Amino acid sequence: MKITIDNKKIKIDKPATVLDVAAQNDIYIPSLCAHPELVPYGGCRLCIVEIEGRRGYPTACTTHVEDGMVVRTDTKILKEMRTELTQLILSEHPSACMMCDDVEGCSVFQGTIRKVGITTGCRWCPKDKDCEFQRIVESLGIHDLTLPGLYRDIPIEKYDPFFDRDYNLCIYCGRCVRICNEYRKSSVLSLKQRGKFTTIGPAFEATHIDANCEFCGACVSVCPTGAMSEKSRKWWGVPEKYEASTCPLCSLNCDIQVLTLKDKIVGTLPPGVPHEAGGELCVKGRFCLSELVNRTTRILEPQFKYKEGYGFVSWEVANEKAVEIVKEVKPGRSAMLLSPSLNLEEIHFAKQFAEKALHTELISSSCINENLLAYMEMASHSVSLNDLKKAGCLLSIFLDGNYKYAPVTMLIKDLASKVIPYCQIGWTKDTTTRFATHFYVPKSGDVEGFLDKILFNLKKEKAKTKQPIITETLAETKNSAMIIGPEIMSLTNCISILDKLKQVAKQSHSMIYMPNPYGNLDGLLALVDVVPFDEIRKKIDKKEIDLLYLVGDSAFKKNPGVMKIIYQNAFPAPEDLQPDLILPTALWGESNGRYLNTDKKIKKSYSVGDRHGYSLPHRQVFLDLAKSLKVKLPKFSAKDLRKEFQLKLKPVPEKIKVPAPSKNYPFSLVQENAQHVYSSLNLSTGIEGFGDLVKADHILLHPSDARKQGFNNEEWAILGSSKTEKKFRVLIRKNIPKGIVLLTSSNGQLEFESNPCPVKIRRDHV
Amino acid sequence: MNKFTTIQKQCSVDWDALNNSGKTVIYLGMASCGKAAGADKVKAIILDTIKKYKIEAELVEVGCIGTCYLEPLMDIKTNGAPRISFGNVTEKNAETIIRKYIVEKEDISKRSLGYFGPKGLNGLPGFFEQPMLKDQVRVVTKNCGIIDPGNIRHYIANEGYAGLVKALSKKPDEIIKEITHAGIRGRGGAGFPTGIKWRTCRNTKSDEKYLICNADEGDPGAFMNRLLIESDPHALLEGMLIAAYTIGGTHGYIYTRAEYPLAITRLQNALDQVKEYGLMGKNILGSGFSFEIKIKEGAGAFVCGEETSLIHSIEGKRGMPRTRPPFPAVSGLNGKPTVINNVETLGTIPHILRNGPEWYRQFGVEGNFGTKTFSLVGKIRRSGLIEVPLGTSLRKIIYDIGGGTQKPFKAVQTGGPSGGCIPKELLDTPMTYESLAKVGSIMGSGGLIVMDQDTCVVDLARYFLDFIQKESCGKCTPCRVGTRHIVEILEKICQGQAEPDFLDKLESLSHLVKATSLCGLGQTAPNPVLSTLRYFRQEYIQHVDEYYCPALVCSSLIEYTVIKDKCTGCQRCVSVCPTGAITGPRSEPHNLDIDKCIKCRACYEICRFDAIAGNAIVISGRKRQ
Repeated sequence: MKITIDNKKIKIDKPATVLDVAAQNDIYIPSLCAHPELVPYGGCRLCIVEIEGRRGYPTACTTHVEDGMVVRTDTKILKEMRTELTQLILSEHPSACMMCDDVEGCSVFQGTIRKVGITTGCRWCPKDKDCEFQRIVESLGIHDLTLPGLYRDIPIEKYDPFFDRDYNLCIYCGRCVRICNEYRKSSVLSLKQRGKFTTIGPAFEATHIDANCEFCGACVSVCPTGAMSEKSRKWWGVPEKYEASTCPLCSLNCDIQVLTLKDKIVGTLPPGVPHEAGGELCVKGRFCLSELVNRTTRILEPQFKYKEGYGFVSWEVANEKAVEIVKEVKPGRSAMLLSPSLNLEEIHFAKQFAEKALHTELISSSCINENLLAYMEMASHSVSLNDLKKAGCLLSIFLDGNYKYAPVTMLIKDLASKVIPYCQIGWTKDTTTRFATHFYVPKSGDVEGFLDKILFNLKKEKAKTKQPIITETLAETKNSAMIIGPEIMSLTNCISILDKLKQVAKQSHSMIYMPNPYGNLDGLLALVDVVPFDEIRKKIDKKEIDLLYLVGDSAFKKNPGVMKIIYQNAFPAPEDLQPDLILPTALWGESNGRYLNTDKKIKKSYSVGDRHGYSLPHRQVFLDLAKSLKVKLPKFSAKDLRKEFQLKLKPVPEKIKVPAPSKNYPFSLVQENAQHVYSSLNLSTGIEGFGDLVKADHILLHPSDARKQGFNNEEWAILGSSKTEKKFRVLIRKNIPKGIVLLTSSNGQLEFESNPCPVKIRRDHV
Repeated sequence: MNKFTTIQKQCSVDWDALNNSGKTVIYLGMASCGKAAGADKVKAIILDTIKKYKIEAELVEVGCIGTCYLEPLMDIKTNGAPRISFGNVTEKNAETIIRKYIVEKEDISKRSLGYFGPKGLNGLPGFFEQPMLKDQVRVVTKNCGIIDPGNIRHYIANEGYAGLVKALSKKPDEIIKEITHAGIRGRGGAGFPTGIKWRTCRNTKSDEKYLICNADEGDPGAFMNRLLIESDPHALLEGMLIAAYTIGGTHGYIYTRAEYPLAITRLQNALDQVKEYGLMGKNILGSGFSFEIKIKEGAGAFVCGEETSLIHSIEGKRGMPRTRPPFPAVSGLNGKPTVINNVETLGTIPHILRNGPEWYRQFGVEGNFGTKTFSLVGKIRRSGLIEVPLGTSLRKIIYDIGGGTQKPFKAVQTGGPSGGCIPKELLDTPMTYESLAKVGSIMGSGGLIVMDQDTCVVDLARYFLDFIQKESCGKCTPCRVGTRHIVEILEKICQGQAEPDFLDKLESLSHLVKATSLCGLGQTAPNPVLSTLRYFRQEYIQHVDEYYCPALVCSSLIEYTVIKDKCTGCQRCVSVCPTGAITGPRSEPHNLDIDKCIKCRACYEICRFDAIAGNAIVISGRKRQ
């Protein structure tokens, strides 16, 4: 195909829009609503062009090139109309950032001090200098307003976590709505109302949380103006650098780019061009990382516990003290606990240090228990995310993917919308439930029985029982895939359930995919022969441990009865733990490192930001200590990673009977252990916004269940099983199925005798 | 097929028995217009009266014949006399009419409007010889007000579904040829040739094809589609079946608004009946052609009349237009080829099939064949639904059919809010798509709003633009913001706050919105402004320069005064004034406090019609010196 744009003859070999072709040939056509990932929209009308033989002024973004097309993009009338259209937008959009007399000198001389700026609105826009609309106004050379202002005075929305919305700045390019619906397939946002009252948001004035928003931030990323802004970043200004890295907050280790300003990490985005990069990340990778790194409560200096109390010490003194402590301890009488979020290098040096300096093999992590080991053993047969794309049908089990594993949930939604059957078993309606052909909510005491039925049906020639859909789907499609979520680890009969699932997978020839919530658990298991945490606890109880070396893991709330504790972390220890030596360390983004993800691929993350205070990378701390102890630690090589690791698994234990709901205990309580933990910091309690999404120590109820009991949000309820009674605050969420009570406990301990557990709820009248 | 011939025969016999036997039959117009005029209460009275006098009569609920100003309309047929019609029947006089005419056999036919059928009655004119009806050509509205819309047998007896039978015996390409030759153009407004649309869809290969009937009638003052569906739903269904057969359609939708409850009920009833008679569903009349129709109720957004918005709405999305091409005939509902036709277009199709394209071409003028319905409303003597051949002049429609206006005629708005205002100098404009476009208006779906000298054109433009602005979906900038500025400017002009450059701004904004809007809604939105500016610029200038509203409508530009000499002090105005602006003791001329007056017009109206003096309160414009 040959076409002519502005007298330039262009050859095209594949179908494209006029706007794309022009952009590829360095012909600038202003546009606001076009986005490479999204279906052409034609809303802003700025990309109008003249095409010979076509009536009127078609938009370049919606017009596909045809052979022999003659396009003009910059005639006088087009320029005039573009200017007038921009003036129309400007009449609704505050324009003090562009039309001020001092606009030139302002940034240099700060002629507008902040207070004035807030009043006039110019310095108050979070996208000032990073705004696509500003650029368009500049490119059209507009310096005056020709139309009277029609400010809409829409109240600013600040009630949802992570991002604020000021739709007075909105220019209705519809990118946020489209990326939410087309790309992320969340369908949270929509245009609402008509005419001058048109605005954007979830339907029926719901909050984003109630509308099941995943807070992936795709809408914020693509917004060309300051209408949507990140709460944590809006005052920083325009980032200087966008650097590639890897997210350490779960086993998927997504690619991200880190935004820095003066070597300070200010935000994270999925990879791609800023303003275009979509929503590949989950809320943790998109919003929590920079908040984690910039937490005000980080440890900044080494501290030693003198008799009089804690004192700040230099690294030299800290090293001396550490050497003293280490030398005191007899070989084999120390234990090391590692955070599963550490990178491979850090784990390697920690392990080497434990072996060579502490002379111990007792290395573990507070999360490692039998259930986890059984889960990870099964997960070692997990396929890669790419293999999952070939699935012919999908079954997700306890995935609960609202705020995690975004690439997995997006893949599910993508495949399910292409008419691939998708079934879900779980306790919360997540973002994928809308796409499920079958959503099964197991009641208490139901899980194994349900799996047994599936298994029974699969083994039979022809399936005919109560849950035919799941069985049929698994049995009759090729390349079936099961996605198993780590919430299964907190269930009472986890190991026998996993055993059942293994049989189901085998029987139906399904591939399995099992992510976990730890950044580098796969790496930890591949490098270290871990012992279950319980063994270390038992040894401590038997007074067989003198030194506890905690590396990014706080494990205990108070001293469990050991002589010495060295605490090496970026976040402070629990108040009563009282470690003898506190060593501040760098976090992700402040040192280079590698991670092993669920796909068994090594992902690199880079040092992009300045370290806080006197903190040092874990690796450096170990090397310095080893030097003081005159021990040599070998370098890390990827060859150290074991392809197949042997886990010390116990045989499948006998099933504990979990009772079913009864008349007296009508609800099924499901406890999910908050596994959103990074370097001992629980995101639910440590990051305010994330705490709003995954509320720790609250029970979640379906609105109709709450109504029956007369509960309002944040009211105290007493949850009683046949054995215990406990008090929790109530939270009403639409995505909890009826008859289910969901509890997220912050300490990771089971609150009731079994999980799930039949319970009754009553109001606390005190 | 033979089975259906039998049904046809039976229906004819039944119809004959109803109309030409000695039976007494009362027909009552029960469309929305009749109901609004009180037909429901009249019906109750009729039933009571029949019981009371033990009359052996059958009550048939018919639709609207189009003479809405005469509703409720009751026709009575007795033994030996033809069906004669009584207009403006009320609760009070319904019993009297029945008693006198049926029971006492008194000759009150002079009170009647006319007779139906071939046989006359001593001196009584035929119903269709009335001035409003005699110049009309009834094709689509042939059955309206004549048959019971709730009874498929009435429709079948009046050649109903004969067009379908004929169509099924032909090849689709033949039908397209006939429709193309007949020259029928889309009656929804744009006037795209129906035959070409069908051919495009037929030639697009797909396993599924959709046919959508656009019954989302939203223009203020337009009710052509509603009346047709309420009075003759089967004509639409027959047209849809023929269209679907021709394009190879598999599924059909009727997209109408939830604000048309009666139309929806009647359509649903009609759908049940066609299923029962084997005219819809699988293997229709043994032809192997299968088709299903569903009703989709819209939420009453004006933009959903635009075909791509309508498709989005049916898909369950927000009703927002998209850029064409691809046209729906290539990629429409669910991405499949889709034909969207207006109710009237589809309602005409069976007639073309029954009588042939040559018959259809006898109506109208070259390039604009056939008839078109218009809803004639506003300041006109005889309002209602009319059907005339295309090419009829506006003068004929307004003066001969509509009976003219009471006060001097000023202008007529064609095409609803998207159309333009045509002044009296251009009344000889023939109603064709091209000539209306030439004078700056559009045919639209057929709304005709007649205005007399009491209408202010600035206020009119403001009203329509305000409507459009409120109905804009907000997707594209010019329509969302541009119309907002136009409304602001018009409001300021109406409030006497205009600045000298306002008219230029108005014009340039209007041209911008027209040229750059995404869909038809925005592209035609400035028409009321541009056409009134073109023909009534002087009136705008008076508003802008002199702050004077010649029609005395714009409330900020007028004043109410009491003429002391005329006022008898009857206190009627005092009692209706909501703000206490008028004061004064009985029998003495009243005072009107201009500062308190909110110009609600209540005193003016009551003085004209109710007060002893009459016309003691006058409205005058405040001219700036």
